[in-house]
Amino acid sequence: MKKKHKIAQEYYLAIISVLFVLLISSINPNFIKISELSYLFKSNAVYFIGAFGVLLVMILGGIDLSIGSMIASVAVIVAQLLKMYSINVWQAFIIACVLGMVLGWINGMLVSKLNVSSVIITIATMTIYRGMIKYFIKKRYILGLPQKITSFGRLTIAGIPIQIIFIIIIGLITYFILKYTTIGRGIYAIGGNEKQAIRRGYDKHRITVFTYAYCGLMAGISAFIHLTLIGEAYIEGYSGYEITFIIMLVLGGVSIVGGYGSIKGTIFGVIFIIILKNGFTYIHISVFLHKILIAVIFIVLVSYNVRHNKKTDKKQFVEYD
Amino acid sequence: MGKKKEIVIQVMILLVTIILAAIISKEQFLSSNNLMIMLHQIPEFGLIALAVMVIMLLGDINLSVIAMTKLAGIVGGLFMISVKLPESILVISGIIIMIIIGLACGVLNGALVSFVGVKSIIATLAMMLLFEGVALDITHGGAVSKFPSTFLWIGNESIAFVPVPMIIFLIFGWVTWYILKKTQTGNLIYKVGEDKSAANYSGIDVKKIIFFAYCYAGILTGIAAIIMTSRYNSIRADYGTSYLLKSIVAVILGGVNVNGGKGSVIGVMISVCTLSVLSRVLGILEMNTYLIDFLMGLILLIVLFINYYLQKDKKITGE
Repeated sequence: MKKKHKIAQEYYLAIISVLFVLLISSINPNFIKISELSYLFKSNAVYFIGAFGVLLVMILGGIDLSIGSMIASVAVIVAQLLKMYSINVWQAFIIACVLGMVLGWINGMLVSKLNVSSVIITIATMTIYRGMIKYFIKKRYILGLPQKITSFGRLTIAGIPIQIIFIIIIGLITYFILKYTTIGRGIYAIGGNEKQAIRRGYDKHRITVFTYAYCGLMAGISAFIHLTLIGEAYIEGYSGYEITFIIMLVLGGVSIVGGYGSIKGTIFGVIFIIILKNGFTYIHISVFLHKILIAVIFIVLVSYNVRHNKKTDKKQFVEYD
Repeated sequence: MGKKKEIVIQVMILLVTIILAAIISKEQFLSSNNLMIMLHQIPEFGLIALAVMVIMLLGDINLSVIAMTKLAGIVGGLFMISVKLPESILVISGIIIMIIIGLACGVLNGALVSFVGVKSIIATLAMMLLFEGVALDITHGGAVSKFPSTFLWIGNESIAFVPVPMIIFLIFGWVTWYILKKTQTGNLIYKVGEDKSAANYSGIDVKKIIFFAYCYAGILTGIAAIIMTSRYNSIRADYGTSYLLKSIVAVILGGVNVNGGKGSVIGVMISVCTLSVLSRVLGILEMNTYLIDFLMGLILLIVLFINYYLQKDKKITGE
């Protein structure tokens, strides 16, 4: 019963997205062009890849508020390294991955060991990461990166931009991990019912650390993608993105209490928000209204979702009703 | 017994911080001018921390406090500069509007969390986005400033050497203490924070209690908005962003249990003072502002570590 509804919800979102695209393109026909849409996805690749990382954390029942801070920190460090040393693009990629993974691993260790809500931990690490990088690098912008990184960003394979290839590959890897590995199943199990999962023999500490490290890895890859797209890094960049990620995922059907969430839903959620954000610009809605509109849509959808779940699935959502 | 010990520790930490501050910054810190600045700074931060605390006692988290404060300040401020009325009526209505907006934001939060049943973090995140959006929309990113001079009195003057904001802070600290300790609703907040389903089974109207806590937090942010706007004589949609982390640090440092059910107003008020002393000293030393953020995060982690080990000891001794 529950599963049926959840699948339906993801498709609702897809249908709303399509309707919205049609609505916008009826006002501004430029919006629906393939090149335009491809550019839209390419330039928002950071959202997709970051969302895959946060997805795992949220399935586990946690929240990672440090994701934006991790992306900006890794981007700044890698940008600085690219400028100072003659490392090539793939070396930069590997450095970004490792750095991201280390930051995520720290999050994971803290969440797992201190036994405190991940919200509090990641609020702390959010400021620690950004503050530390700001203090050591002492520059707010890193500009003038070598050409090789941006020309890598313009590559296409069979007409598909490299960033979209990244999204597809990482999406598939994440799907595989969630679906076919013990750790992936463990993430669902612990998010769904922690005590039972531990009794069944899942190693909670290992799975928690893996999940946050994976999220960090995604942040690292996002940072690399960001550099290939923009060719510069800004330490204040991506602040506030953590909220956008949560909104995308919750709309994509991820359960905030953990235990449920899928790659498909995530992709729908991300596409929905991207289309919404950019669509507003296409039909000339004032920038100042964007936040309000997204907040209202989010509140309405989440409230509907929660009420609906209460009716269909009393166990999971009603703790004290 | 345990509680008194905790407060003694809190006071010790505060005193040590003050002494260290005085030593490090030489005489600058103890100058009456600097102390006056600090006494003016503590209240707005303290009120926000109390708002965070009331929610954290429930085991929830309120991420929208800063957005609520700014929205209340902006709406009230816009009213005061755009309406033509005699100054005293204008100021009083401005103050009332700020409190009402704070309360209204609290009501929205509370309704979403308790009656609709959205998890507090998602609800307050969404509300934060909404409030910030509204604040941005009505100001278009600009500052609201040049309030009537009577209004500025609240934030900048003193009565018998005690700054007015400090008096307001102490009053509302007492009110919060009174509500939490002496009224039934306050006691029930602790009960609900300890265990929601147990509270529900024992016949407590959990939803009503949660709703009340969010409304009260809303009023506190309204009061904080009054002090904030009058102290700076201006308010903008992007003010005070660093307060969120700082207030959470203060609340946890003040001995409030992140998972709800435990914590005292006095502890939070003392830790607010400690943090204010700390950031003031770092300011005097002209430390990089980024480093201050970094240190706040670090302090939070250290406090969590200490709490963790204290709890571990308790478990072993069977307390």
